[in-house]
Amino acid sequence: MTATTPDTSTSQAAVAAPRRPRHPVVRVARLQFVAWPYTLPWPWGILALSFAINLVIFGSVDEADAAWTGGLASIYFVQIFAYVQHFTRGFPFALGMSVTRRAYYLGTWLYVGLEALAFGAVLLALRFAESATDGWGVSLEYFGVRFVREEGVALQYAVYVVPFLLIAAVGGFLGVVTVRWGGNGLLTLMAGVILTAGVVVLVVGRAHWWDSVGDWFAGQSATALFAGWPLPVMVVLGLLGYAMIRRATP
Amino acid sequence: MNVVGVGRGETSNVAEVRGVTKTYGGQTVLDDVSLTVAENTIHGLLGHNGAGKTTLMRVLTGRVFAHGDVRVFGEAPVENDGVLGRVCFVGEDQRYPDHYQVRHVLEAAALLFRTWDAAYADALATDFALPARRGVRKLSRGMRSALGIVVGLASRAPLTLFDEPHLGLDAAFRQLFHDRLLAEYAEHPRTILLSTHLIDEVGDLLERVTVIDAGRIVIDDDADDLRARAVSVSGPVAAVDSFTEGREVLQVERLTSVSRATVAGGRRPDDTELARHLGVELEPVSLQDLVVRTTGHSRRGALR
Repeated sequence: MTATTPDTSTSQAAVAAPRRPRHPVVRVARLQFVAWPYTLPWPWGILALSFAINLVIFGSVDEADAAWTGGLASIYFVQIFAYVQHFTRGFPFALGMSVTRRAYYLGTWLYVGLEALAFGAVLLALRFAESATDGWGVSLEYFGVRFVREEGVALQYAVYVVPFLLIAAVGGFLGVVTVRWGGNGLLTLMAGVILTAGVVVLVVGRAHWWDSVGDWFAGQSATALFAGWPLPVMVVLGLLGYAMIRRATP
Repeated sequence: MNVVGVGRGETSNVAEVRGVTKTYGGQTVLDDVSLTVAENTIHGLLGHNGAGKTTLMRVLTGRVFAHGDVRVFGEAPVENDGVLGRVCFVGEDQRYPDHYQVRHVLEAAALLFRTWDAAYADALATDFALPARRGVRKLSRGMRSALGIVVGLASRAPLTLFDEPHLGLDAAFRQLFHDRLLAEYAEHPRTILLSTHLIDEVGDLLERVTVIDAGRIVIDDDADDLRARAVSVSGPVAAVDSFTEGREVLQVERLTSVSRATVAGGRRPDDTELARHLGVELEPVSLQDLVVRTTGHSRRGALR
C-alpha cells in the first residue's frame, strides 16, 4: 500500500468534502452552487455598476421631479446567460457525471427557484431602503421604479421574483433546444419566433388593434404584468423543456 | 458462457447487452452486439477508431438510446438514478462548465458519486500534477485525460468505464495510471471497462478482452485464452516450414533465409521439444498482433 492510496475509513475525515444530499434532485441543486464565486458576482456586479452610474447621473441633475430609470432590468438580462448555460454547459457535464436527465432538469429548476427567491429578497430590501431614504437622497426611482411598484410587501416580492423565473424558463428552453437539436435547432426556433411575431404585428396593424393592445397593458397592475401573466408562459415552457431534455444526447 | 474471475469467489454479471443495434443517420455503429461484463474484472474494449467502442460505452451508461436489451446491475440504465449512481463513465470528450477549475470538478464529483474518496482524489491529483486552481479550459489534452482518470479512480464506482483514458498522456503518466489502477483494483475490487488502442501497453492489465470491429464483436475471450490462441515461430525458413506443416498459418514474414510465422491453435504438448529439435523459436503472440490480424479486413474472423 502506498501513501497515495489511503484507507477509506480515514479519508472522509481528512478532507472537508461537501456533504452529499441523499436525493439526486437536491444533489443537482447543490451542484449548481459549487463554483458560485465565479457566477453570482456577475449579475450583482453589473446591477451595482448600473445603479452607481444612475446615482451619479441623477445626483448631478437638478430636477424637482423624481427621476426614474429602467436600470433594474440589467440584472434580469444578465441572468439569461446563466440560465442558458445551465443547459448548454452544465447539462453535458452532469450527464457525464452519472446524473440522469430528469434529476438534472428538476434539480436545476430547484436551484433557479431558490436563487430567484434570494435575489428577489435582496431587491425587495433595496426597494424599501430606497423609499426610506427618499430615493437615496436624490429622489431616484431605481429599485422601486414606477412600473414595478406595489404597496403590499408580498405582491412586491412576487413582482421581483417571478420575472427571474420567466427569464429562466425562456433561457432554459433555449438551452434545452440547443443541447437537443444543436445550433440548427436554435436557429430554426428563432426563425419560427420571428415569423410568428411578424404575422401577429401584421394582423394587429391591419385590424387597427394597437390602441386596444396599449389600453390592455395600461390597465394591468404591476402584479398582473410581472407576476401573473408570466406564470402560464413559464409552466408551458418548463413542461416543454422537460419533455425535450428527456431524449437529449449531447 | 465463459466463467471469468476464477479465484475471486462467486462471479456475477455487472453489465449485459443483448442484440444491441445503434444507427446514426442511417449508418450502423453497433450491429447486433451482445456482451457480458463480469463483476470485479478489468475488461478491455479494443478496436480501431470508429469501431463503436465509445458508442457501446455510451449505451451502457444510458447516454444514448439504442435498440436491444441493455442491463446494468440488472436494470435498464437509461434515466435510472439507482443504476447510474453506481457507475462512473470517464468519457474522452467529457465537457465541463466554462468557469470550472480542477477543484470544482472534484467537488462536483464528491457530490455526485456515493463512493467518492476525497483524500484519494487529492492524492491522485497531486500525483498527476493537476493544479487545483487551474481552469479546466486551460488544461492540455493530457491533463484533461489525467483529470478524467482521477475522477474515475476516486469515484470508486462499482462499475467504472474509461474511454481512451491515455489520450495525450506521456509515458510516465500512462505508467502511473496503470500502477494506480492495479493498486486500487487490488485494494478495492471493482469492475473496470477500459477502451483503448494502446493494446500492448494495457495487455498485461486485462483479464478479459473484447475486440469490436465495424460495430460487431469479433473477439470476446479471457486474455490468457486469447494469448494461447496463436503462437509465433521464427527461425530458418526450412525449419519454420516443417514446424508449420499441417497447421493453420495466419501470417508469414520472410527475410532471405529466416522466416517468422504466426500459427493458430497455440502450443501442442510436444511443441517445445519439436522446436528445440528443429532449431526454431516459439513466442507468444502479442495481444496487439492478434487484434490487428483479427480486425484486418482481409483476415476478418481468421481467429474465430
